[in-house]
Amino acid sequence: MYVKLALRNIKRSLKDYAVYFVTIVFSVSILFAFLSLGFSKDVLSLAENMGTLKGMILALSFIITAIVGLMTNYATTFIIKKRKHEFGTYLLLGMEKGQVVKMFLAENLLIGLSAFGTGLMLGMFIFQVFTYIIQTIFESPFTPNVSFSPPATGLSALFFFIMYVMNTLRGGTLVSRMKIVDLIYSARYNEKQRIKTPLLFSAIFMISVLLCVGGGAALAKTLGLSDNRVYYYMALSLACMLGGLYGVYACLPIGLHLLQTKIKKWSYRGSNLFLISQITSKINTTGKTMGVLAMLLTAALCSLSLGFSISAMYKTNIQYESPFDIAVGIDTPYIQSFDEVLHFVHGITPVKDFVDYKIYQITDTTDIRLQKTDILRLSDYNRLRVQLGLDEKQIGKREFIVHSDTWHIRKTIEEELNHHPTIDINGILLSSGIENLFTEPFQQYRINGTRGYALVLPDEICNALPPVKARFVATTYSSAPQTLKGDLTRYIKKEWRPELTSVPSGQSPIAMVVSVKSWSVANGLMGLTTISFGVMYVSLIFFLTVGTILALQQLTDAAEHKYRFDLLQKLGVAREDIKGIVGKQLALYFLLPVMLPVIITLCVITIVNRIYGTFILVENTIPYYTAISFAMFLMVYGCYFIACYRGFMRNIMRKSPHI
Amino acid sequence: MESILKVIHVEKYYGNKENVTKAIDDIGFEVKTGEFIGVMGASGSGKTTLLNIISTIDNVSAGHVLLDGKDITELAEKEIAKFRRENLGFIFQDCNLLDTLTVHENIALALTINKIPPDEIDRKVIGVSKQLGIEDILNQYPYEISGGEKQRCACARAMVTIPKLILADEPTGALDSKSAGMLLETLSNMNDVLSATILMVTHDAFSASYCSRILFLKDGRIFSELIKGEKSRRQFLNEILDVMALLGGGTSDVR
Repeated sequence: MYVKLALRNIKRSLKDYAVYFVTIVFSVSILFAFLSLGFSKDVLSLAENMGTLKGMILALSFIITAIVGLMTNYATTFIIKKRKHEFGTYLLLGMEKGQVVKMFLAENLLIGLSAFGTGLMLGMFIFQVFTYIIQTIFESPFTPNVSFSPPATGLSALFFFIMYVMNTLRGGTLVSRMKIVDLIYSARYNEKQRIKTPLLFSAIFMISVLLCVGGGAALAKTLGLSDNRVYYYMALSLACMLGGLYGVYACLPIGLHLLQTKIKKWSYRGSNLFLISQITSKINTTGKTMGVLAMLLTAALCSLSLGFSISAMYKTNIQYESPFDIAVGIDTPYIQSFDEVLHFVHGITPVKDFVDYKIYQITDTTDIRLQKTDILRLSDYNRLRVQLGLDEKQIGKREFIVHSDTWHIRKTIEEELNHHPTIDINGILLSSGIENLFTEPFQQYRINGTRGYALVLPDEICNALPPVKARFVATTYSSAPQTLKGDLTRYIKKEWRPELTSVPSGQSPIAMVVSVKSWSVANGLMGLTTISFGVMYVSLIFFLTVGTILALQQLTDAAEHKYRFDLLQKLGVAREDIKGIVGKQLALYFLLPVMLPVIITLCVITIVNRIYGTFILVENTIPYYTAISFAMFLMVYGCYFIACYRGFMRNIMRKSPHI
Repeated sequence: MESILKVIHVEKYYGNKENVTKAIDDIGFEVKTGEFIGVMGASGSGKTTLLNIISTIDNVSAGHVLLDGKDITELAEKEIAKFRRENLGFIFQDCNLLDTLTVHENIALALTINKIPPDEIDRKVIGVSKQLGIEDILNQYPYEISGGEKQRCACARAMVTIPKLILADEPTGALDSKSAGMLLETLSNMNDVLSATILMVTHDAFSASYCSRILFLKDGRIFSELIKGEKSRRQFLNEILDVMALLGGGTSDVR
């Protein structure tokens, strides 16, 4: 009989709290898919430093476990509250408390275990999709590999234990501590209304708003700073914003209540009276829950938008980052030749062609456009172009070329070329035009033009200029191994020119760059993968959590809501209008916690875009990916809204109350 | 007849040091086997608190309650459940039927909790439901039947274990007058034919008139006592109404 009872209870729980259990299944599957990814040999072997992905997934898994744990905690408490009367009846019939607790645990563990199992299966499928996506990113052939990796499965089980089983056990303790008299008469207790004096309330509300706005302003200011304090201030201003956000939402129901009592005209309009009362009826908990949800949403939306933008930045920067197979730059003119370097590289991977050249600068000039500007010889420039498979350029004796692969300074350069196309090099006037501006990826910033552009002058003019930096570029027959970057750097620093690293104190060290295309590409792809998958991981879970809590709140009060809506119908509200009111009520519940987070996210994105947008080599990357993030969010959220609406309508249209 | 229930100087306080509410203020009485005793009083007079104490749902602040010679105020937490299932049956205003089980299963649950051998269970369930006239709805779920039927199911569940004492808290409270009448006949029948001892809390004079003896509570004390004896139910009802008028509870509660 106990078994039958427990099974029936499970059936009812699955029906009443379907949204919650589906979320548990999804959480487990997402957790498992990502952990499998972190431990997948196929994926980890794609790039030398792919271990970063593993580390990040592990770290994020802890955060996610904590958040899902919070949700489970909330849901468990919620469900116990709803079942109090039932537990009381068991006790009344003479069931022992231990028996009731055992039954509660058995029910929930059974549900949990099947959710875990289903989650693993679904997770295995998601993992295959992820592997496919990542291997496509790395242009590596996809081979389905359906095997449950022991560490991923083990960790999933551990995290599941923390997020679900522990909360269930806690729920069991909660049930065992309850007194029968509280259980039986629980339904008669109301939530105590704790309305602060309007003055105090207004003060708290104002402070919260100020914190929000102040945090935003501080963020705008601090992002402009260029030292390490920026992280400290950034965390502080974000904390201010989130704290303010929570405060605003915690005050919201009280504010609505005050509005309702003060402004009769507004509260009597349409269905306002009914709707506002729905929110203010649980005046303490609603606001706090909404506050927490809003904080989660803000974190998720911001990280998703920014994370996608950053990974897009990696993607677009990949080809600009290392167009040359191998490039070495040492910022000193005293390197006569790179013969030994060439020999070293050749020993590892056959070299097809190379350029060993210098970069020049004009030391005494009053033209600020020329100060510290890197200058290339035309012959070197053309040989470099050949390395990239580009055509060679020819100019007249009194002409020059500008090369800039950086979009945000290009506009300035174009303007200069249009209006002041002449430069003075040691008394010789050279001119150029917009037709002599080239923009192919040229590894500027690091190798060919530290300021994001370089001038190319005829050879005989360069002869008169002092060389300041030594450069070496090589093209290989086949793609160099990723490890070459580390090996070459070590060779240069330890064997070839150890004096480069041992700079006498007081002098700034000589800048040195070694880049290997295969490594840069893999690294860029790794960054892209790590960040985009990481933010997706966290935000997906956050969205699921928020959706579940909102839906649970609405669906589990079925009896209460049914009573209210029945009453409305009896008072003469038509069925169609009821639908409208339900829609409005749910929309209110789902929209309220989203409104401020969306505004805050948009503000943060705008601020970040203004300051960092220029570092991304393609225009409007951040707004574009913000739009994509919001679309993703809307999709997940919309599903929860629809599920909730349908469940709600089914509940209130049911002939007789269920509980 | 021997007394099955003895309530001796029971007191129950709520609140804290500054603000003590005496819900029950030194109450003592006895119930004999086979009695149908009613407890009446206005809201807040302490009727439900008294019932909760007798039913081991709540504990006393002072005093003793002896059921069949056993002091239930001194039972340990573990013994209480055993005691409850072996000695007490409950009928509440809101039935407390489990909505996941059919009527049959609801009644059977009480027996399985009492560890009755499985082959006896169905026989007992069908037997008791015939007596209460609910054998046709045994396979339905609580939400498919009417309030009166639900309450009779609750009676069946309370009776099926043959408890020493059946406790009923406003059993007719949520019923229409016809269903209420039927339920009271059922209770009365249970008392007469099956000689069940019943303690019923009510504020309704009509319901109370089915009892054999009535205790009137006011402000946590026993105010008066009425015994039906050989009187007709109508006469008894009039006497109840007179006491209620005296109590100041008004006659507005009278149907």
